[in-house]
Amino acid sequence: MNDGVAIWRWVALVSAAAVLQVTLVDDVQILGVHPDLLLLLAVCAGLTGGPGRGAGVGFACGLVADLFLPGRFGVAALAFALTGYAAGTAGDTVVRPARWISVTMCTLASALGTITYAVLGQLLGQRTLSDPRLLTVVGIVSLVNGVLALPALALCRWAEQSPVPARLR
Amino acid sequence: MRTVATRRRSRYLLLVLTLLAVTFITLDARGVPVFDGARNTASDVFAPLSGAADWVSSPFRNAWQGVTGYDDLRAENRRLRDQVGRLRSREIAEANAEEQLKRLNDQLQLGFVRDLPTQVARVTSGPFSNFSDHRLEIDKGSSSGLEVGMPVVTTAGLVGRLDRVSRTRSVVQLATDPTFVIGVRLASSQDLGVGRGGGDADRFIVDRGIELADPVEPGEAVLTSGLSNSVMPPDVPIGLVDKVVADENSRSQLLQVRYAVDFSQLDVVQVLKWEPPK
Repeated sequence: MNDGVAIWRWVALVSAAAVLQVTLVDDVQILGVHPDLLLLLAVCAGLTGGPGRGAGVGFACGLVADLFLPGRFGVAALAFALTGYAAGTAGDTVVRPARWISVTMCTLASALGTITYAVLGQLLGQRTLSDPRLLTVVGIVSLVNGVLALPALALCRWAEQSPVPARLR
Repeated sequence: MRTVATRRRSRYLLLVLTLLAVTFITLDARGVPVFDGARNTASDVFAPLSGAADWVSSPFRNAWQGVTGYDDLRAENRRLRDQVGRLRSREIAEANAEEQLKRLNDQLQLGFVRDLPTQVARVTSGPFSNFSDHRLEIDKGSSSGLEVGMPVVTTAGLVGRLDRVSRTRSVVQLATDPTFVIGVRLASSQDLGVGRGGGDADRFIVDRGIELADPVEPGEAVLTSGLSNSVMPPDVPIGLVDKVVADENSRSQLLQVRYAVDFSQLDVVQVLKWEPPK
């Protein structure tokens, strides 16, 4: 695998996700909650590229998110890096990958990522974990990410230049 | 499956990234300006992209909001009908209703702007966070003469203050934020107190300074105090007292104030080019 090409592809993917998130997706709300493409990318990077790739791409996605989110700079970077790593570790345990496993893992990892962000935000003075809408946010973000999991995984496989069957489809 | 060496390398990478993130958090908490600079630059870079995307996608977004917000619109319609009904009955019942309405209107119009220079701005986006961050972005920045701390209002009253200002965009901290603390004054008694955002778009809380003996009735107007060290100019309407609760322990009254501004309908706001006296 040519790692240099892969990195540039990841840079392109993260940039595209950031532009889409800020310009369009933030306005597409379900019950006042918008999808989180950057978290989705962190999770899918972990599932396709393993824990290291998940942590790296998650950190980059989080840094971009931190540019627009309130609170301390670095909170989303930490939360997304941990989530990407966890997704990659979980992906490593799957022996026989299947689509429904990919979607389920993406949904669960997105829920984990949102809760991790909420916990870290609360520890650093925000009212995220104590937000009365926490369950709604976790539910909608994870469900929408589950719906978007398959196309996102396909994009991540393209960036990773990985043949499909080696890891989660 | 990953080799042992790859796993070890992944763990080291995670450790390094975690330490890096913690370093960023610590530096930001200590007020290192580079992070605000990065955020402002990002706002400026994304501003034209957001504008273009907004223009292209507005028909689709309106359609989406029409679908997903249908129940909210119905509830809002019902609430407004109830309100109109109550106002009509009150008008009949009270001989001086017209005069009261006139006084209320006088109080809530932009009289508080006086001769302050203002900048009209459009709300460009709601919160970027899914959690309640009590922030929104407007389409004017330092190139229009805006500075951090300037009050933001509508014709109804106080919206908040500028929290961050880049060249072409600004972030407004809404008056609903629990960390938004300002001095207040009751319109009729001129009693002074301190209030803060209630955490939602319904209630502003005045929890200091109004003693038990002070006469306060529901419906009384609450304004910014404008004392010498205040972060707000005087006489900007915040809202009307909705509920008064006596707190025997602190020997004071806690006022729940209904905001004059409807935060769910913010579209165009005015920034008062006012700075606190040095």
